[in-house]
Amino acid sequence: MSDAPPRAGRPLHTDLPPRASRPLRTSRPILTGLPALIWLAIFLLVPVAVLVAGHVDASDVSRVLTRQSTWRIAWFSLWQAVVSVIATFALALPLTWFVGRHNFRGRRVVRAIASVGFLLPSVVVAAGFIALLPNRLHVSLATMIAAHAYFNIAVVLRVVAPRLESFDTRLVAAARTLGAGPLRTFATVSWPAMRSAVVSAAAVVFIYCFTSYAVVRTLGGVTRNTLESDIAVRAYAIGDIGGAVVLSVVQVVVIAIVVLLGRAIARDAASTTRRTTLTLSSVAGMRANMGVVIVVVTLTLVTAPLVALARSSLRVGDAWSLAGWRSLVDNNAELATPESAPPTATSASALIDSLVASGRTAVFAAIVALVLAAGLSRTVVRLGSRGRWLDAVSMVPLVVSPVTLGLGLIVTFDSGWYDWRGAWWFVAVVHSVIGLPLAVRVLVPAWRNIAPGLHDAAAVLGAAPRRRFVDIDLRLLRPALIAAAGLVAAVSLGEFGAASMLSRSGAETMPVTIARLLGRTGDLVRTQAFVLATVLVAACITALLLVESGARNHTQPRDNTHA
Amino acid sequence: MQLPDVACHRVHRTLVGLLVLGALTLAGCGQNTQPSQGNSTTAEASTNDTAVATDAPVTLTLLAHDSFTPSEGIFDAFTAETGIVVRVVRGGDAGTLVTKAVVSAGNPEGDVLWGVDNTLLSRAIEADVFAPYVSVYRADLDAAGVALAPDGVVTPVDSGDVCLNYDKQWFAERRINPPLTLQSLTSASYRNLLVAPSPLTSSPGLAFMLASIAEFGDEWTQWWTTLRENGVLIVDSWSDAYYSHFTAASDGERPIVVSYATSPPAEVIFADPRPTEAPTAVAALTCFRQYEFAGVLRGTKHEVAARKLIDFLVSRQFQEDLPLTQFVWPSNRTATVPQEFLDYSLRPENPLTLDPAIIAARRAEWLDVFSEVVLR
Repeated sequence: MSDAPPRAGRPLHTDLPPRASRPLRTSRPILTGLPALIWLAIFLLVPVAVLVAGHVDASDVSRVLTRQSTWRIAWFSLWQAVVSVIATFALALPLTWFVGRHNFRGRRVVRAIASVGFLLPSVVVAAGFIALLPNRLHVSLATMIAAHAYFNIAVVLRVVAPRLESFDTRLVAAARTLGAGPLRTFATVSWPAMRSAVVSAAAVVFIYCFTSYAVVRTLGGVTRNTLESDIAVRAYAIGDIGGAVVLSVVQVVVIAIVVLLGRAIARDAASTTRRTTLTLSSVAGMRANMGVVIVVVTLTLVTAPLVALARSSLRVGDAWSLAGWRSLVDNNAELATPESAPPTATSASALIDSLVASGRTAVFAAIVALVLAAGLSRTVVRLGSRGRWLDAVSMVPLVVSPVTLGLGLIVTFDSGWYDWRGAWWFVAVVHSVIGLPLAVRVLVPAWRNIAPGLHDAAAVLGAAPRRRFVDIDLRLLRPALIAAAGLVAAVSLGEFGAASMLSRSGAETMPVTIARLLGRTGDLVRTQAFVLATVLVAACITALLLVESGARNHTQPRDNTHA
Repeated sequence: MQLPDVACHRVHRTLVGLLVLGALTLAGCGQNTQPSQGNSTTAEASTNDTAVATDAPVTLTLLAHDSFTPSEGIFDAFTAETGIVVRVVRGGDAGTLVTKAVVSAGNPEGDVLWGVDNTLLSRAIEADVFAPYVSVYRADLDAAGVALAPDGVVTPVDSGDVCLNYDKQWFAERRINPPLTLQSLTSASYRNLLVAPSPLTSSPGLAFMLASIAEFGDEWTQWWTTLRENGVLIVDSWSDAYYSHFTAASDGERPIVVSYATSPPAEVIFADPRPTEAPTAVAALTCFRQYEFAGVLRGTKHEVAARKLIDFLVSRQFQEDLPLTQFVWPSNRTATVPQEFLDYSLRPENPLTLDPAIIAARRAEWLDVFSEVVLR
């Protein structure tokens, strides 16, 4: 703690030994991080390198970098992402504050529903927005930004709310007692404790918005291009793979610069965070009214496109109909009028297949990413300031264009025993790579919050390393582990870019199926797409509720420091 | 500082529970894969065919775009006859499919590819994606399609036309004549009435741009400039244009859309109850013809079997399934086209076309010009 200035809250922690007592713990912190690094190398670095080596030459670089449109598009990607981050926080912060600081009935349900937008494939959210909004708002900058904010509420909620929960309100009380005004208390006590979480969330949201693709294409309109959408156009429509890869490198560089700037801001904040007492206020009086307004407004905004989706699933053409839902349970229902309707509607088994494939992929990706991220984030924390570069490396999967990654995987794992292109688990492996940064983001603060003295004390009392791991680390990490698993599963359920490159029939994930159905002729086929989207929404909310109830103990007030 | 044992047990239980849940899911899925493939896309070897039972059956992977939706079980007959099992793998739209085939040329993801069209063909041929094979049915196939791939590098499997579609009722109610030519679209009476998918992201969008180039030659950019001033709406995809903006298929506000010549029969055949006539019509003089091809992928380990599959894909049996499942015209001229398809379809006699070699040479340049002129 010697590098951080004294904080108002320090005296309350004097019962914990300072970090100087570290030498008692393992001397090789890098070991737990190695599996994740190897995983990233195999499934991220190598494929991209192979693609660059095989399909890019010097002329591509100069051609792309000297083209004026490249920089126009890069500039647009940048400023729309910044505006989107601001919009996201404006939308998410009130709810995050209320949920993070207060205990009330239905809190978990609120959190689950508010997070659901993040799980949905962007094609579905875009369809929901179109179903909801009047015609003239279908394609506009404002709609595009709103959709970005909609997607990312969950990121702010999931990353910032846990920090709020573990924030010790006695610090605020102490500061106020000592004479600090509300502003000064915020600036010197609350904000420093939250800063790293806020910057962390902002960085993730920024990256998602910067690399936005489907939302930009459908709601932003064809005249608006981000680097990511231009990459897809180059690769697929024009067949300019070299140009596409160069653009994706430009994208990585721009994002790296912005994120490094963000990290510079967050620098000293991270070291001030500590595991603290959990004291959620219960809600009463003014707070209750304000809370009700915040919850109702936010949830209405979040659920409106979902309700519009559900409505679309009940309509075939201009009429209300259950045909879409019937076709999900009955293989032959779509052929209700035998000699008339051709069998182009997708069969129930195919719809169920994609449900199962999505669930399987999400579970596999979450388990793999969780194990890898737990190890990597431990290394990041144990290495202290030397771990910063590792933290940055763990973010790389977020900034690599899914189109580029997908193409790289196809050209790399293409023959002999490592021809995995058709394997069902390959998509899950890729999702574990894409989800890793989020899991690390959630787990790093959690490891950091484990007071170093706990291990030392347990060791002195005779606990073996394994016992210390189970009784201290696992126990204290549990809420974060559950949150991380939920996030990775969410990313996997909604991920489209890489899955669309790798998905296979029989193992096609739901976003891919939905996008495919939405692109085809026939009212019933479209209705089926909306049915599937509605099922996906329901599945996601259920999964989130399970995650929430798994984390139940965490949300109940308890006092660890006094145990 | 003690941590109660109860809590530890709970941690264990939760973890074990999660792992078991994961394992069950995985196991359950593993079991599910087999029958579901049989139901949806895979034709499994017929059990009563003794000749087949003695051989280890070959399984072919047929790579196709997302619009490849033949009748279920269509490959059963092929499997019964040859012992070859067909697994259909859909890999995105046609552009994505070709891009993936190009990067994995010589080391393909499958054995046969369905769905490269004449706007993309040269890109695939240049990258040496295919192993040439001349089908035994070649003499029966659409001559214009065969002429586009004369050395048999690919085989034409179907064709269709991308044309202006309009909402008949919308024009009738307002007593306005619908547009009949591309030239007429720049007239003030069609101001703000047209919605078209972008050629950068949509295959019919690209066909429509090529139609304008075939029609106007070097003047095509001027035509688009005028069209832009006349309020054309360019959107991301065909489905967005048709199902979000076209008056006849959505609550949109545009009664003219770039779509297929087979969209009117689709409007009738998919509707319940069926109308006596289609609510939409096609402007025949605006049509650009798309040919789709299938080919054996170079590097396949089952080249002989793959050739048999090409033959099956252009056989009468398979070709007759195409009109009502995929709304395209069969390439095999001996195939019988269903009456209801003929009733509502329009087959333009002199569609606009462009030489694939010219498309290949200039497509990237044209798309860049289009971006600058129209999408600014």
